[in-house]
Amino acid sequence: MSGGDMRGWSRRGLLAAAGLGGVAALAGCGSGAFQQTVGTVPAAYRKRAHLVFWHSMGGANMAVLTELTTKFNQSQSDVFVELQFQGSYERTMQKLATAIVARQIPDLVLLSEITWRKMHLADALEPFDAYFDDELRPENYIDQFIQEGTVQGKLWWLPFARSTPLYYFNRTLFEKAGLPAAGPESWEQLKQWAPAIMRQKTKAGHAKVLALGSVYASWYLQSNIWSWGGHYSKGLEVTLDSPESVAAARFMVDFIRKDGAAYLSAKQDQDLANGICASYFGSTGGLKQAELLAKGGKYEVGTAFLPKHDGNFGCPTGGSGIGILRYAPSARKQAAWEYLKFLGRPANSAHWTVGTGYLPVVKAAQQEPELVKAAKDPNQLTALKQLPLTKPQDLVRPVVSNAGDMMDQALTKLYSSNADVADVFSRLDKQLRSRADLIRAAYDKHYH
Amino acid sequence: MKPLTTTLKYVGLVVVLVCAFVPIYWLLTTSVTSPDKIFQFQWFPTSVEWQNYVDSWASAPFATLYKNSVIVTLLGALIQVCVAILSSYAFAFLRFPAKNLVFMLFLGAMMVPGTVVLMPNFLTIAALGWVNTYAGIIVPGVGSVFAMFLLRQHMMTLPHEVTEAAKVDGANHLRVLWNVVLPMSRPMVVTVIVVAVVEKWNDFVWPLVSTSTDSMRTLPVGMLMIQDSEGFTNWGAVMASAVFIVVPVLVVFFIAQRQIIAGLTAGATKG
Repeated sequence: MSGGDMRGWSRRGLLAAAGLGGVAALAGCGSGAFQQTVGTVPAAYRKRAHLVFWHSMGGANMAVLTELTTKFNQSQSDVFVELQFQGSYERTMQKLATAIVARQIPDLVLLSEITWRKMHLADALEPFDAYFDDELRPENYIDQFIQEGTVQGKLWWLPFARSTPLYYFNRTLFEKAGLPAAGPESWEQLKQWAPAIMRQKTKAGHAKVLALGSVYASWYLQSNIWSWGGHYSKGLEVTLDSPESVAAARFMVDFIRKDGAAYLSAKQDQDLANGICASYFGSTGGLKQAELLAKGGKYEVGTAFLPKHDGNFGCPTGGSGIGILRYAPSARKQAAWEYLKFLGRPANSAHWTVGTGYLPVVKAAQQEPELVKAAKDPNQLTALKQLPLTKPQDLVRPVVSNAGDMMDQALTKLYSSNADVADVFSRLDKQLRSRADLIRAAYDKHYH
Repeated sequence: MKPLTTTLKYVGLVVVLVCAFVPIYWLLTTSVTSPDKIFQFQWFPTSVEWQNYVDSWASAPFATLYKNSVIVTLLGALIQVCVAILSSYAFAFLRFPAKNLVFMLFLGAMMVPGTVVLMPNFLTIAALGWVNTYAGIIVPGVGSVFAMFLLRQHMMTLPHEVTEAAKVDGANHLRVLWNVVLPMSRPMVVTVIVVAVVEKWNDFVWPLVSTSTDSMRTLPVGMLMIQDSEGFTNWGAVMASAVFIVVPVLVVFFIAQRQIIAGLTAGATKG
């Protein structure tokens, strides 16, 4: 047996053990009652139902979440929501998994588009359907966000901090090159424009057309895969080695290797600010940062829809939503719902969007004066206009354990070496298939 | 010494100095740069923006974070060093059954990565009701095989005649340890203390896992609160918070540097 085979076997073996052990443990094979994790309640709120909400919002976003939560706590006299910051989405999920095994759980948890799928497969989440009432209905939310959180007719994940990819570009540079200020409509157009863009002088000499990141590379490439008519997977059936998927990635690789117009970058937004690139793909959540950098660098930053191919458009959703823990007692789950209803009010949803840059998750939020005013910024408007055209990504990335990381690594390799696209995709396809097999039983139970 | 060799030596020293100094200099200048200029590389900041320090202090409960970090570091390091001294003395001077086997088991524990024991440790402290307590943060980390190993190796090099003489004079083990072995191991003990203090002060993952509320968080976890994974992070404020964290460690290092260097280089000249 070669070293490679051995590694493959042991990794699979380990994964199987970890996956089965983890899911079995999470499914509640342990003993003893679930308790609420430790928290602190200020004296003024002692007599209320105490809820613990684990979240991953740092920086300015934490301030907005704290503001909304304080407002909720002051708006009524029955419930006190305590925010507990747990680090990144991934860390929050790891901690949640451990907390479930230790039977000391929060009531509400912020889960990313990837982590909620794991918690759903582990039967840790409470469906929301029975909680909806006249005050808050599923129809209040943007349809594709509700669709994404719905499996087998039940809603498990309530939209909250949702985002999509956007095309960011240096508008000043585009105009200097004699190109339309609205950005490219298609990949073919961008390719045609490449020589004109690269001729322009910048702080760094000349700028390349497009900076590609390795972090979340597979989230961004999902758009290309769809535009070329391919899929990462259909359900759990991996289709990475289909001719369409390979062709989509090959276009990007050619844009790097043959045209010399794109490259792998560590920090795309900073490269734009320093004149190293003329455009990149970023999250809608990064708009504030991009505009701040543009102000410092004295250029104008523009945003556009993701480019089409042959008239086809594709854009995946991302970001996070809120889940209620199934193991919490029903009184606390009901109290948690009151808090979620408060967050789902159009004015609060609009305030969250304006303060953070995340998309409005409630339809009526777009008519709120606060958001109407903010949407006068054409860049913010791009994200809102693109929103109805987005859809949830193919399931292999969010459902299969570690799939996102493996895909990002494979793309990083393609973007930075001379590796053959078909080879890399066929190997990745095989790896993902064997990983998918590990969770197939749980997947079939939950999705069919 | 030939002038050329001296020049080369100084050139080497300058290179090392620059390598060590530039990141700290960068940290300091970034912490006083306004957010819109942060990614435009400049050796000297054109303006000084103290606002980052104000923002940073306001973004996380630093007074609480400092208190917790100091308690966790001092108590954690103190207990860890005491345990290491006692166990290393036992391995170096006492005779008991299966001593070498136990020692090998201890060394074996060193090979297990910390992340592997994260979950068992959490389940243990959860069962004890220690989540979100100082005991929960400190106790799982009090046994350091590395510190014990370092001290034991040093104690083995001490001349046995001295400890034997003390015993002949009627000293018990604790007295031998306190009056004879420890004074002769001072640089090594200081090294172990410094390593323990830095390790506890900088520890991130365990305090994040074992605590849930802001009232029990430590400084490295607090630094995370200032960052935003998807949207806007004020890196100036993040760097300012890094300054808050780094300064106390630097002060400790400057106070103890003579001992540390002596400790780290002790034995370097022995054959």
